[in-house]
Amino acid sequence: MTRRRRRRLSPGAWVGAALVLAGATASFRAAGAAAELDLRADELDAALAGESNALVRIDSLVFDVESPRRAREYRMTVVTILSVDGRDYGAVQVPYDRFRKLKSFDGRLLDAAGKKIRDLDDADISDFSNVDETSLYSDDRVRVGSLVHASYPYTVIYEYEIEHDGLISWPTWYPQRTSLPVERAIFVLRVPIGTEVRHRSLGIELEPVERVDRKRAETVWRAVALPYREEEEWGPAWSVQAPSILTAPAAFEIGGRSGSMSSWESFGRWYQDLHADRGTLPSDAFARVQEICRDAPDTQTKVARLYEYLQASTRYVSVQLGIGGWQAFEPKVVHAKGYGDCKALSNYMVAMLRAAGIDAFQALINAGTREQDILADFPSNQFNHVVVFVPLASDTIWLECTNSSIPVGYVGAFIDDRSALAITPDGGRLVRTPRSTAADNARVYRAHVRVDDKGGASATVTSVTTGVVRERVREAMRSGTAREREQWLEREIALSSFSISDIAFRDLDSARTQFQLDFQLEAPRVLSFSGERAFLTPNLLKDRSRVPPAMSERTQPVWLGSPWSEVDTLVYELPPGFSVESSPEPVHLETAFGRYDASIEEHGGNLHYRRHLSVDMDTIPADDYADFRSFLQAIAMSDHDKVALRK
Amino acid sequence: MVSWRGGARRRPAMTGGKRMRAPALLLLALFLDVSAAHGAKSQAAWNPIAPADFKSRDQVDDPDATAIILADIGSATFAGEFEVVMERGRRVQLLVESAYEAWGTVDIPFYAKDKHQRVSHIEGQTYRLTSGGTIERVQLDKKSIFVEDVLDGEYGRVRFTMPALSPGCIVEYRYTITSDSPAYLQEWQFQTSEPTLWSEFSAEIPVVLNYKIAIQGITQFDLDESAEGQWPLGLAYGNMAQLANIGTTTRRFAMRNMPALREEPFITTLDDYCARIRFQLSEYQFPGQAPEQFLPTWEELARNLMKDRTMGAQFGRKLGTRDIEKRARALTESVSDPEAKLQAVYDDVRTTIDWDGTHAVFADKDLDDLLISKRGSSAEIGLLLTDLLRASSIEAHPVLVSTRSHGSIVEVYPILSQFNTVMTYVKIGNREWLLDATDRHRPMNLLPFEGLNDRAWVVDADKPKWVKIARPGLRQRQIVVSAALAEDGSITGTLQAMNGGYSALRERHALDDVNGQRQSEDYVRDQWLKILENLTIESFEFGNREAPNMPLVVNCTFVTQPGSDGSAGFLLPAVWVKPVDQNPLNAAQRKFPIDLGCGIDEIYTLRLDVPEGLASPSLPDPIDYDLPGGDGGFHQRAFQNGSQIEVSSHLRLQRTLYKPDEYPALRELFEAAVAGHAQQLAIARADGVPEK
Repeated sequence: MTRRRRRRLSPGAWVGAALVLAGATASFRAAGAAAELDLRADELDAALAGESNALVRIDSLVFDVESPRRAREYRMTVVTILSVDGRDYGAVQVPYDRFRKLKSFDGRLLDAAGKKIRDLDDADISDFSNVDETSLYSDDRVRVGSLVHASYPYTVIYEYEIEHDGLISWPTWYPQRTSLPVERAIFVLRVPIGTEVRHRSLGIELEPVERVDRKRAETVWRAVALPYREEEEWGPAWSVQAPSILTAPAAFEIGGRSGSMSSWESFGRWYQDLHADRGTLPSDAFARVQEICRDAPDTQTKVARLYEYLQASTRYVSVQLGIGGWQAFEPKVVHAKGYGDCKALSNYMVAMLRAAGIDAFQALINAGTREQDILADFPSNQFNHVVVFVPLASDTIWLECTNSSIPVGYVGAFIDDRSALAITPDGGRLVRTPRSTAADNARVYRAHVRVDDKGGASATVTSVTTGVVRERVREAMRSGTAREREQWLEREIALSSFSISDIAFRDLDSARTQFQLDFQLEAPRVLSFSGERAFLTPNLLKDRSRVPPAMSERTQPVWLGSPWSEVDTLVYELPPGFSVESSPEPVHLETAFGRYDASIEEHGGNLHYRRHLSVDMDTIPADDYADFRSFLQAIAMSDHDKVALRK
Repeated sequence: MVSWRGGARRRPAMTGGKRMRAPALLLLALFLDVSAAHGAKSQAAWNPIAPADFKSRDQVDDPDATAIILADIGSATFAGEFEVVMERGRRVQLLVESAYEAWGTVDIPFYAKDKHQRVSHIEGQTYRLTSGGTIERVQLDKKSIFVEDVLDGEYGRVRFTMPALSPGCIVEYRYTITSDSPAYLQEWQFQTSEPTLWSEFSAEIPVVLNYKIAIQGITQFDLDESAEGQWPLGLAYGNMAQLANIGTTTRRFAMRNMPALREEPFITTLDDYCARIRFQLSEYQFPGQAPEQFLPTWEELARNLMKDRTMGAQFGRKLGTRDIEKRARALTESVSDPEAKLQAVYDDVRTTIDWDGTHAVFADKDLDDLLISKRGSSAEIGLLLTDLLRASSIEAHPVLVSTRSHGSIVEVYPILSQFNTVMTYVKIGNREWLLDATDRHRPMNLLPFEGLNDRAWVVDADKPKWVKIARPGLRQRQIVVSAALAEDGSITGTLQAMNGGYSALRERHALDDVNGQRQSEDYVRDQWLKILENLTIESFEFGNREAPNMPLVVNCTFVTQPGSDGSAGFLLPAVWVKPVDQNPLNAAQRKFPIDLGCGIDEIYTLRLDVPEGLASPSLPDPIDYDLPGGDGGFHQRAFQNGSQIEVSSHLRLQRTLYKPDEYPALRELFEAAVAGHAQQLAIARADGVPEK
């Protein structure tokens, strides 16, 4: 094993932070680091610490830009661990890669009185490969430091320096990176005089202080006494909603390729230039495109055929190395190996479309079902994914090239309703992806249920799904084995004990917008008996009773992902000798969020249960939480309604 | 000069590696590089791919298969300075897309530290049967093979993905992994998570090396051959050189049509059920020299361990000056009863030393230091407990244990990597105990669930021995809900839940993550009263949180809002708290024994007062299910006594191990419990019908 280089930070590096942290005392400069700070752990701000297991004392980031390509990043985090359950907060993880070198990494452990116990040692450090689950390979690594002590409270200090050689973004600063309360947080952005600095605050009002010395201009933000953040159920992830300061360069350079981010147009041009020589198909692929498109009556058909060819012949495999994080494999590589990442597959698709004479562009997007839209008026690197944008005269087609099971042009919850940066020969241009409605994302169940006198049932069920619901169901049915399909359906249908058989599906063809699934269901117990009586919950196929807890003060919106609808029609054939003693009244709910209808009727000895739920919104504002919850609660009540039968 | 380190298999630093302490083999020999002449070993013969190979599905009756291993072939030979050269080749048909990740991408972990292992000669290809019946071949691109430093330069991984995958394609790859010591020749598994048509392993072993072979899960190989051969070896003694031909024996084993091995509930680890053959270097003998033991006997191992700095040598050192002795004295001086001493020492370690979450067999730290840092591995805590007891004049020995996920022990292998944790064996008079103090919530008579394996080995320098790990602990719970239903359908009630054994342990750990009033209330609601809707918790308390010898008690009072109309009556579940709502034994059949780890004893009682004019016109039917042999059962009863309705049920499983043929009865038992707990209580007005 190679010895790690161990080097103390030069005190000078900390001057920026020191000015703010210690009130610009000269002694701080001399002492370096945090020695002069009061880091006693036994006299904390109890109100701020609250019931938290740990408290962030200082979180400081100094980002020192030297040129469009180089920067030095200095970080210091100081955390006081208050109890055994907070111990995990005493660790720090520092990701690095080809463009981010970890120059130093130090730490100290302080006792309750703020006195040093020991320094971070090699035994406290591990260095891991940081290749994520979905990647085959990348050059990402992470160094993890972990300091623990046996008596509480104690304090850990970490200081590290990262050298950036290749910059495509400047930091997004989160004054509160986790739910822990924070005493003091500071962000210093330092640039050579004359360098354009762009910034934007999100979810927090902080006035930066600007300062200029002989060579450098500094912008400084600080935040103090940030209280513990309670998680709120069904709210956005903290990483999405945490207050932040975005910063961005105008001029940047990475992997030897420089560009400008002062406008979307210029950022798009940089990406376009990166792919200038990567648009050509190998000759056999070109010939294949011509063959596929022969006799196609119109452009839509060509796009559909080429997209289906892409789906059948490639799969998603991610490899991110150096500038390869930005620059796609060449089309010939994708063609030969049958795989690529999002940009490689998109670039390959664009090349095929162009070979067929169709104008198409790569488009950068911030994908994810639970992601915020980008800030459209703040040109910067806010993207994590690439799709294909095909502008046609009549219509615009979006192609998600990493999914082999969606119809051509399908825009799922992963990329819908947001801005994407289309990469055109004239540079970047923001274009919006379409939004779906409740009717687009539907799940329809039809079932005929024969109930026997032991309380068991045998049901013939048909499920038809569209939109995002179809995506889920079809994916599960398409890729697995027969047993996997059954297991998936068994999880989907939350009966306590039952078995599924004879699964048949049609419309598997990825080009179809709906997906039909037929199956047979045997449940040993749909009636629960109480002596002479038996009870039936007619809403058989899914328990949707989950209601988030009552909250007196909701601060976060509810994120539902997408609007959706559910339509159930179930007919029950009762066993001979059983009659209906009582059944619930019909329910009709109509709210701003959506509507719900449920009814049960007797027709010729059969019970007909109808249920229709439609939720039209994908985000519920925090202020409407109580009303939304009442809506869900009323639905849950109705979904649990029982019919009483008597022998 | 070569020194061999044994035991480096998957995670050498944890299971052995530097810790292995097998006597280092110091050869006085220098090997000349003559292996190259010998090196043209037969590549495992690969038949050319034929269209019929694409029909592997027809040869396997397994609807769950996502891939079929057509051939899995490994061969081990020796080269150079007794390096083990293992060649492995696999040919797999991928039936569906969901197999791409597991079988289309290949990971080869290796131990990179000091180049103990290296991976080379990787090649591979994907075959596809075209609609025209021809076979297309796409070769693995060498540039797409990645070598990853997984951790600290010690653990490496070679990773590649096969090109041009499509459902039904066949992938084939080969590689060589070379290890610097004969101790790395270890194991071949004949089963994977998918069916295997042919699995073959051969090893050409120089007669100078003697391996002990252990076979698991196979009564007869479909192929079991052996052949004699020669291996030219250059030896140097001091400054004399000599070329000798050493005899070799090649053993070749193969199994045909091996079924898939897949995860099921209530097992220890799948490795315990896998058909496999294991090799352990035990002895070597060079021409003209006496045989040398590589493996010690269990007795030698115990003696060595008791002298080792990381184990026995720590006990009783620096007599009279140690903190441990002072500590033991302080704890037990005023106690005369040995069992009371035992309890005092156990409780002291349990409450003052924090387990760092790692299992280990050797102590990294000095035990005196552990008293200061107050945090250590399972080895350090087990040894500290042993030492404190010894210092208190109680007979105590370290005990080596393999946790459930670490697997079972092969007794013919006196090697330490079979174990992964240390407990303490205590004997007072005729009574014996196994102790593990790594959890402050665990009473003395309860071992960690992970520790509930079959046997443990007592490291006694004079007389090491095996002891059976007793399993007296239960999942134990007694829940009583007393409630009153009001005219308007609202309910006022109290819950008392007494948790013992592993149930108490579970709740104590859950409570560790619960801070403050709001989280505590959420815990009571979500963990205990989830079934009731519109619930307000009025008060609650937890009893005996820090007294693990006592049951963990959850008490609470609650009210619910009035229900809907209720003109006809009310319908309520018969069990309100933690009902058995899923059968854990989902699969219709079972191939493996069922190892519950611990028994179950759970009693549920609901007493409900109903207002005047309301009654339950029909009570749920009684349920009685007993396992044949009487090791367990489920019983449920409902009574009405005046205005009070009582429903009580009892789920009990005494024995912890069941044979596969007992599976249907066990499954039916859980089914009876699910059915019983799903019953409803109808409470009707005199002439009405209940409604929710």
